[in-house]
Amino acid sequence: MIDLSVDLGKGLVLSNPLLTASGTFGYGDEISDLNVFDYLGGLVTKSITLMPRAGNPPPRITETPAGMLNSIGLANIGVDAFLESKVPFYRQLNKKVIVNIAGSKPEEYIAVLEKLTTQDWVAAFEINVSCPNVKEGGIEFGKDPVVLGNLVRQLRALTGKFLIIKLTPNVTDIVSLALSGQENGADALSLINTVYGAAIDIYTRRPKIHTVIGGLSGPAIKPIALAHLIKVHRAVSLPLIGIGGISNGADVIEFMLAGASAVELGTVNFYNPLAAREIVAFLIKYCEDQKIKCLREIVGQLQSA
Amino acid sequence: MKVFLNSPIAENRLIARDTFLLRLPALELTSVARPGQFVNLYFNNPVHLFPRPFSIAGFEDDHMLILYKRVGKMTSYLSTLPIGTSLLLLGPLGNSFVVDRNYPVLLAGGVGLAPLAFLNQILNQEERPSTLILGARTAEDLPLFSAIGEPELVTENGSRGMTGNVLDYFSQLYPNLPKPFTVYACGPEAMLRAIIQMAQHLSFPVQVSLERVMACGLGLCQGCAVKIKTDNNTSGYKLVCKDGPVFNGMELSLND
Repeated sequence: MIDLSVDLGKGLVLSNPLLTASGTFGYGDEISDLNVFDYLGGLVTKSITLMPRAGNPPPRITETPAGMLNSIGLANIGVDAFLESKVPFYRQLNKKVIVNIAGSKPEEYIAVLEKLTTQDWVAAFEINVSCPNVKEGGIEFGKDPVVLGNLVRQLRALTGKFLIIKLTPNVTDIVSLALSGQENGADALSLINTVYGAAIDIYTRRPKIHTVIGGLSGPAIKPIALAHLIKVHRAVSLPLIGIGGISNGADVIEFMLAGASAVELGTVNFYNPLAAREIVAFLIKYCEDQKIKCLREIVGQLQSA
Repeated sequence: MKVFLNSPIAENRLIARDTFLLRLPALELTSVARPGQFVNLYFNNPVHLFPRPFSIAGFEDDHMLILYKRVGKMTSYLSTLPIGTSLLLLGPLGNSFVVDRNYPVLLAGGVGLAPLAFLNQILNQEERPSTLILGARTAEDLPLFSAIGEPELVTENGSRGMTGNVLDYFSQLYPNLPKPFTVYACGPEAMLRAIIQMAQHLSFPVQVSLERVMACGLGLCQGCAVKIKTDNNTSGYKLVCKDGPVFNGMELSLND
């Protein structure tokens, strides 16, 4: 019997390393009839904000080579409606539920976290810091180590729950942000969020998404994600959750070798809703072939060139 | 209940300019799919990731019909697939037309015929009289196939049927249509905007089926948003994949 479970520390153990990336799996209840949960270690909700958000005007997405661009604008029902309508689903799910939180001011993150930290079904928080901070001239929280550190410190003081900071790759030095998260009390880091991208329709001469610049995801960004993961793994001791273009079991192994204790499946949920099932089958086969009893043994086992 | 099916192509035939009729065995869907719903086709292509959504164009002998136009890389690819090629599909997805007791008037622009062909089939089964108007640029563009019977035809160049567009034909029939009637429409967005405007002006109900780029077809990505009217000038959106693809024309704000 192969043990696929992974331990993120502080009591957060997942039955396997597969999580869903925020915003690629809705709230989780949209496809409850496809029986995908059996193959997941847990799920990460879409970003929840203090007030409901309608999201950005269309067009919001476009397909790009081996990837997609999106600019959804954090469309969500807001924390109050989230608590009112989704809790029964999460309670019966019997999976680790990680709530992703976003905001445009520290106070908004704090308010959402305070409303959720008493909920027993919340296994962890993942903080989306790729949002413009309206108090700091619109620079994203996740781009300045001092701003990020202040946010993490405030949230840390308010919750005993597992706290994950989701890093953006759109920075000069991701390691300085990772260190800031670690020094200010994060329990784990997840990386990477989407990469800046744009696409243009040459006949209309218009951008293919309304906000012009959006977030690139999918297999196109996998090497970028791996490079960031390797850099951060070298620099910090926190558990890491790998994200970025993972589409099959071999990708999961790559991310784990590079230092990820768990991974998030994102864009693949759109083009292969059964990916988790296929990945679990691959992981078991890989472990059998490699004579590995516990999958978590391979975390960070990337050898020198 | 959505199901995944691996379905071998039974027919993939050119029926009009760049327009194909695909027949797939889909016994599991025949009794559950309703007119207006769609299926995702998954191509497992490493460059073009998204599944492609197609309205269900009806059923024949436990086979599902899909009507599609060759416009991009994946529909071009689809058009080359021979009989027997297995396609992975997921469906039925989305909502459906809400058929009321009014006289049904079906307005189809080109390949927008697909969901209306299915609706027309159901109405025929129920032996309900209805009017189906099918329009295209020219006679060569009319996606005609046996299951739709004999629709009223209109072409922009007059090469077949009446000369003009679907709205011209509808306007001409309007005085003599049994009333009250409900319009069910699918086609180019300009046509849908025009019929909604007319419905507002003349106060008849209209349901339209919309097409949008979708990444998932399941409500997960929130990418296929369409603007809806709101009471207080705030932004409001619905998802074509989950809240649609069929919308009450009066709730849409298609102009921006």
